[in-house]
Amino acid sequence: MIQNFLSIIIKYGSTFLFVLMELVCFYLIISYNQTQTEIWANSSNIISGSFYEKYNNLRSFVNLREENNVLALENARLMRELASVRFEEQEVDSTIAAQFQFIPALVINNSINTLNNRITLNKGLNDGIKKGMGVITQEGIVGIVVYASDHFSTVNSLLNVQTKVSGLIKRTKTLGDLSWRGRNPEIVSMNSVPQYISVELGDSIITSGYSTMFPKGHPVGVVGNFKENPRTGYFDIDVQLAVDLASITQVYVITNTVYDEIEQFEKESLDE
Amino acid sequence: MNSVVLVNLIRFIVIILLQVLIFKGINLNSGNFQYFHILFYPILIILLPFSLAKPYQLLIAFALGLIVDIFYDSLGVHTSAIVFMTYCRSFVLKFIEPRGGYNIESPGLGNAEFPWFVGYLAIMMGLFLVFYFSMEAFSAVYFWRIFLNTLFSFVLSVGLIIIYQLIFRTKL
Repeated sequence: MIQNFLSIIIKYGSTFLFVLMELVCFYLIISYNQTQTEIWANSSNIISGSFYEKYNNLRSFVNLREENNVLALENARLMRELASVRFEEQEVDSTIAAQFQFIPALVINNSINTLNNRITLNKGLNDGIKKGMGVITQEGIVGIVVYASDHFSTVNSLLNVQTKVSGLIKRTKTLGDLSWRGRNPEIVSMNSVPQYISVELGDSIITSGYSTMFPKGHPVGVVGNFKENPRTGYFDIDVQLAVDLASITQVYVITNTVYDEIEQFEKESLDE
Repeated sequence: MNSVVLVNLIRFIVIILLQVLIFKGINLNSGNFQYFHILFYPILIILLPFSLAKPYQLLIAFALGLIVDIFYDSLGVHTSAIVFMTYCRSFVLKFIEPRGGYNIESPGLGNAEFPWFVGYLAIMMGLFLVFYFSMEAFSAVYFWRIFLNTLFSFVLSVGLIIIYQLIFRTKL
């Protein structure tokens, strides 16, 4: 059977085979990039996922000491913040405080030099991670979960031209859209900030809290550069990212305990 | 097992591992300058013996591309480029055929002349990289990006492959 198949191919020339293979490739590229439902073959896939995890285990031995120091520092910082929060905000509604929970996860595969950069994490559905959850580090936001298998999940990082996140200029409380232009992995652009707002270099950009993915006020970056765009009437703002996405290892996936309720509510109010 | 097959098999395993574990992680870029990419694995196809039938070359290239793609999270991109390069290989070899034809078994630096090998390598890697970066961007809007990516990655990858071939002058 296979002999017959191959002899036909040899007889009718390898051009036929070449065209066929390229068509398969185009199909894969298009369907994979548009819908992301073809993720069975990306690195969330058990084979390469577990392979990368083993490789990472091996590599993380080398970094253990440094990793410990970072974790210890983070613990200290969290305890300090916890204390101050308890002191200051006893009035806050307890449902809001408990709304967001954090699942720690390790980055086992990462890229920053393509147009559609993705990150693979070593936690998945079994650990409570679902599609659409936000991913952060203590320094700032990282990306959004687009696919989760039982033990692994794939994250579209901020450095993915398909990722859209809303941000807030902390000082002026102005809302804007963050997206990546596909060039510098340290900078994302912020659009739709009107020109009457007095933006300054070094202004902090934080998450807006208007989505279910990120809690309000988590850092994104600072204004590195901005200019007026006469065509759109808005500012073009370059945001210097707070997180060095090239070297992240420990991240936290945010679960929103009232996510389902909010989704349900928004759907119902649209139907009315 | 035949020693040609054995050498090629070992080379495939080692170079695929090098590509997805080491070269993928190396980042020589900073700031706005993001054009250095090390794409080393096309050498596997470039070094295949002359006698191997073209459909087999294409099937090997297809499998190789899929393996690399799975690790790069870019299903189809590497595969289309490596299949394209493999398809062009016989035409390139005919185009640069020395007077009197080929009297060696495979095009490695162990038995080929240095200038001939560099010319062959450069044409093949040029074809591969242009196709690869075009597929990666998938739109002519990114013309400059494709051009600069190809240029800088070409210098880096071809340089590394020549060094590799100078160190391991395999006859097969």
